[in-house]
Amino acid sequence: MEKIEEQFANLNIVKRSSETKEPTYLLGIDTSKTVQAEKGSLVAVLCSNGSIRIYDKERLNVLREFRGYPGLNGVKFANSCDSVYSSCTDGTVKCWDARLASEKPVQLFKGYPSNIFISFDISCNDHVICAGTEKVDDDALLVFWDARINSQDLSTTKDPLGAYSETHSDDITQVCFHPSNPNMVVSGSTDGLVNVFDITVDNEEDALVTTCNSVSSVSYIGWSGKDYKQIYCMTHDEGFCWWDLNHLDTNEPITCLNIPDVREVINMKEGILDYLIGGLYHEKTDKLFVVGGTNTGIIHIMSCTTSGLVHVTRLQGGHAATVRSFCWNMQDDSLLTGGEDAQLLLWKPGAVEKTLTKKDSMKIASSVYQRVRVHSNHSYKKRKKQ
Amino acid sequence: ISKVSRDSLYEVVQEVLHENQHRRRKFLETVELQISLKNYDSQDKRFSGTVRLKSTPRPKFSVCVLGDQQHCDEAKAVDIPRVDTQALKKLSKNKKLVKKLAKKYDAFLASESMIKQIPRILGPGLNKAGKFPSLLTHNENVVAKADEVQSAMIDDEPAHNTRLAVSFLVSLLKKNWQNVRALYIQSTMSKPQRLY
Repeated sequence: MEKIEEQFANLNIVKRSSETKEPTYLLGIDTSKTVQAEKGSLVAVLCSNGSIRIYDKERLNVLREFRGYPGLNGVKFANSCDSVYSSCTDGTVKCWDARLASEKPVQLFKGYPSNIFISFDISCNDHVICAGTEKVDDDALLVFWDARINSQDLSTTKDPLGAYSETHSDDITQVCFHPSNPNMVVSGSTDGLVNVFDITVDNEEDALVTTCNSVSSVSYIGWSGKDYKQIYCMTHDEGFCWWDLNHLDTNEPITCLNIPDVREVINMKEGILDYLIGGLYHEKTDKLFVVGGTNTGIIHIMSCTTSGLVHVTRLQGGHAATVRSFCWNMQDDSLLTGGEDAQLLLWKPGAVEKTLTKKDSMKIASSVYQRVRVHSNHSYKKRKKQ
Repeated sequence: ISKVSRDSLYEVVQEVLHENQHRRRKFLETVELQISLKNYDSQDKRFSGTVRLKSTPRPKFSVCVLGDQQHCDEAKAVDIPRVDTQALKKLSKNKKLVKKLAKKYDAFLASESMIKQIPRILGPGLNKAGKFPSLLTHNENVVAKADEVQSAMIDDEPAHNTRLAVSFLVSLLKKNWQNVRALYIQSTMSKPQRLY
């Protein structure tokens, strides 16, 4: 097994989030990108009860909560500050300052009348926000805003720069900006199409670089490969597609892999795969991994090869129900996962003492410190309580 | 389907197809599968997708091949509408012509070499119409693929297709059969008949 795969296999739970009064599904996770002395990293979690919770990354305790926004979709930190964004079916993209206790958004990006936003992303230089809508009448739109906060601009509500309306024919479920090129963005829809745009080009038609067809309904999209010139997607019926845009102008096909139903072809020594959650591109090793799971809470990690998906490892003893979100941290190779069991878990690589017993109800044990230890023979010890 | 026996599925379909036989004229009817769900949380994962049926039940469903040399030759041999590279370039960014093309056919198949060019040559016309082509590889037979989408259902095909559709849906539901409250089948000329 390669080193990175060994690392995945050695992931163990380091922390579980403390119990909260209102159990909800944890639908999205993102971590702060800024590094501030004396201040720990933050985790923002999208909860199914219409709130965004901010946690301390190492302790997984809730620092603050932005409540009362039914219809939120997606959660993302800015790249250069600790603002956190989410799109909403009420036709806005909201921005909060994750370091402030105030529950009100510090900025609102308003869409066009009757826009219902179900996806969004912010460009890597924090300049542009793009949000995707549900199909309303005959249109599914990608709406764009200037995200820069102008100190002279006192207004906290921003209107769009414009929108794309011609390239999707159904709900736009995913928007993903290129990790390092702020001008490229990819969108995915229940119409099965994955569209790649260069937003520096004036009109929509010419901005459309290519359209890939998953022939199903897109649930997740991402960028991968050296220089991030590949795109991949997952579908609602657990399919997986992988395209290489390096071949757009060559004679070679751009399709690297097209699996209609991963559940049917994945070879696992034991157990089954119920669903796919998303993808994870590991820069250092130039490898793409697919994350999936079971309805009992087991997480499966698979690696992508041109001949198919290969099962790498399973993460057990963590969740007790469907896993809905994850966030991989490239700096310390740690993994955060969130599920329908209302738990947020922090996993880190390294040999650890025997894992905690699996939680099979909503009750979460009082916080136990679990330190990562090498070559320990003890079953878990109770550390000082938080 | 585990919860619906072969026999009861067959019986129900027969009932649906042959009820009111005397009132039926010879025309193509639509068979509808109605699904009632339960225990489904609005925050559960969305279920959405396409299932390939044994034979796609749409008469007069026209397919056009946007093909490379080989695929166009195969299509020509069996009289399937086709557009080759040169003809496609003639439509280049002409919105009106692209719209016309999109309206003329129900679905499109395209060779790998063509499919990556479509946005640049045709613009988003096929995207907007919901008719972006599916990939046609050289491992696939043009005739077989196009044929698939043109036949209507006869005999036991409705039962078989119902089985496929239900299995597909159940596999996407978190609690599988626990999420299904009821299933009904109905055709244009019949009352809904309960299947589950």
